Amino acid sequence: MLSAKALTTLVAYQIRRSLARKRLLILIASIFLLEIVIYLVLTRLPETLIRPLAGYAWIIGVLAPSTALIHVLALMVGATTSAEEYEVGTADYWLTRPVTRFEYFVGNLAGGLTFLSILILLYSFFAAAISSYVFGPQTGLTVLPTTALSTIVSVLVFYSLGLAVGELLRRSMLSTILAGLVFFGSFIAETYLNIVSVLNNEPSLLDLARYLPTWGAVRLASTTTFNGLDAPALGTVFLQFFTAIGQTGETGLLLANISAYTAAALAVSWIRLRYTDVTRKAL
Amino acid sequence: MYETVVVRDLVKVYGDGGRVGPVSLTVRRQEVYGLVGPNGSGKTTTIRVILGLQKPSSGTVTVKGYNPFKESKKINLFTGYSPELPVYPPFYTARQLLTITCKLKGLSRHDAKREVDRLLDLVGLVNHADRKIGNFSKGMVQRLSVGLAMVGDPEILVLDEPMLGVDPVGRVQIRDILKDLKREGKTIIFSSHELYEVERLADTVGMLYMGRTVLEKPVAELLNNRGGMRVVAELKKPPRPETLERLRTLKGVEQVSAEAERVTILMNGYDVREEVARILANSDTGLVGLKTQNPTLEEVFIQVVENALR
Repeated sequence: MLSAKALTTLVAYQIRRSLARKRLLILIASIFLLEIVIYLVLTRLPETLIRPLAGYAWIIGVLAPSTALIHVLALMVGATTSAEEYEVGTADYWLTRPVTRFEYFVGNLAGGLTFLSILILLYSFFAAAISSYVFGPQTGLTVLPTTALSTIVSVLVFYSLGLAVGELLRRSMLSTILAGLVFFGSFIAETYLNIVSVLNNEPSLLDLARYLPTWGAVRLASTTTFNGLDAPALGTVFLQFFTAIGQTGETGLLLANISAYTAAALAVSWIRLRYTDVTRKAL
Repeated sequence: MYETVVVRDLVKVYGDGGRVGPVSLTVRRQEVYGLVGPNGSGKTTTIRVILGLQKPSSGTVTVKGYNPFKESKKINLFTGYSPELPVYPPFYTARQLLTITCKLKGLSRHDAKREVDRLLDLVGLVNHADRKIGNFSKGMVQRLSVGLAMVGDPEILVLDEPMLGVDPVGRVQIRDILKDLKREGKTIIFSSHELYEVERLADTVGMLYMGRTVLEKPVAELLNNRGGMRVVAELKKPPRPETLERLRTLKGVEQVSAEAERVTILMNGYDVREEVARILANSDTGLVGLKTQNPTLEEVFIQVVENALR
């Protein structure tokens, strides 16, 4: 049975640890900066272009980080959550207290995810607040919790992938680079497949793209958001971008993609932790 | 006496080809066990296997009958551990980390507060209790590490190089803590390069060399053993080379060394005091006095290592 004390302690520890890391703080700051820049740019656009969008401006701020930045942050948090523990030697501390390896695994996993969830909720609220302030009352804000929840679910792919690579390599920088390569590699491959599919009129290539890890992770939040919104909002110039990614109506497949990658990555992490030595770089 | 920690033919093979073992040792209840050996001899690996951090490639390890790798949580409930070169989350203060450790050990909030204050006082960190660990010196982290190991008054303490990096005052404090714990009847396993510390504190010593156990004996028995005893002769003037050569040829003499008017003869299982006295008295050096000295643990260790190398 899992000990609530051990889990809550580890969750609090992982949040504190993430906040103490400069690299993560820079990335978090850049997410909020992105929000500000997006709305600043929107205010500079011609009013005829902005007017139909104004009521839905919150969507842009909420969805923008979920296209790439939040996944990069997730893989960084994942990779450091596991790897740094061994690299620095703090895994020794936890695993020589009354904490089982499973509690340690679940506690760390939950800690990193809680940190990401808080961040997603914060920037989602920030986007809603800033868009309301700049463009007036917003429409469809009832969908915001679903969007935020979908974003949390979507970060699971690269968070657990980072965790798995970190657990396998036990070197934080190397793990971050490798997990980053998987993300950007998948992103580029998907874009390439989309382009070739259109140029050659080969829809089968789009099916192939569905097996890539970015397919579910990048699309889920926009898909669930636009599924929950009225149609007129989808017609605007700016939201076309998200609908193109969204391909609404495929939530089930997107969740299947996310679940498969998350489950596989978590299984690898757990097996590595359960059956191998707790290493320490310093020794 | 009840056997608390039993290691039998432990072998640990690393991925890079490194190997430790076979290591065998038995730590009895309420015993202070000193694990000694040069760098890379396998002390830390043995300790990490005892704590379940590493899995043995072969052999068996039990702590109060539990398998450390499979039942580490049970073991950690009654065990305290201080690692070699300890590292703790730098963003916590000493008080915060001690409180967290108390919580994990199952202490109530009230008991935890009392325990934290007691341990801070014991390891001499009262004035640094609310400073971030990241700002601590190496010695302060080591003291905190000993304090963390003692949270919840564990029955068994495993301390890997507890004096490493600690200043002389801190060493005395840690030594006093260990003495108190010994008096309280705790089972303590500690590794050290400082053989003098081991000699003073340990009941039993386990010597590791090149990854394997080369000796395991009670310290008293080891030091009182005739083998390794030294005879120190005080002379009126420095001895001639031929006198030293005659001493070297005596049966049971391991080593003869001369320094000005003093000759030191290391015996190996035989009592050669009479012969030594006769040779020196008959020479022109003028024998002033003859005394015997028990070997230090360091000398015994060197002797054991030399024998292992032959």
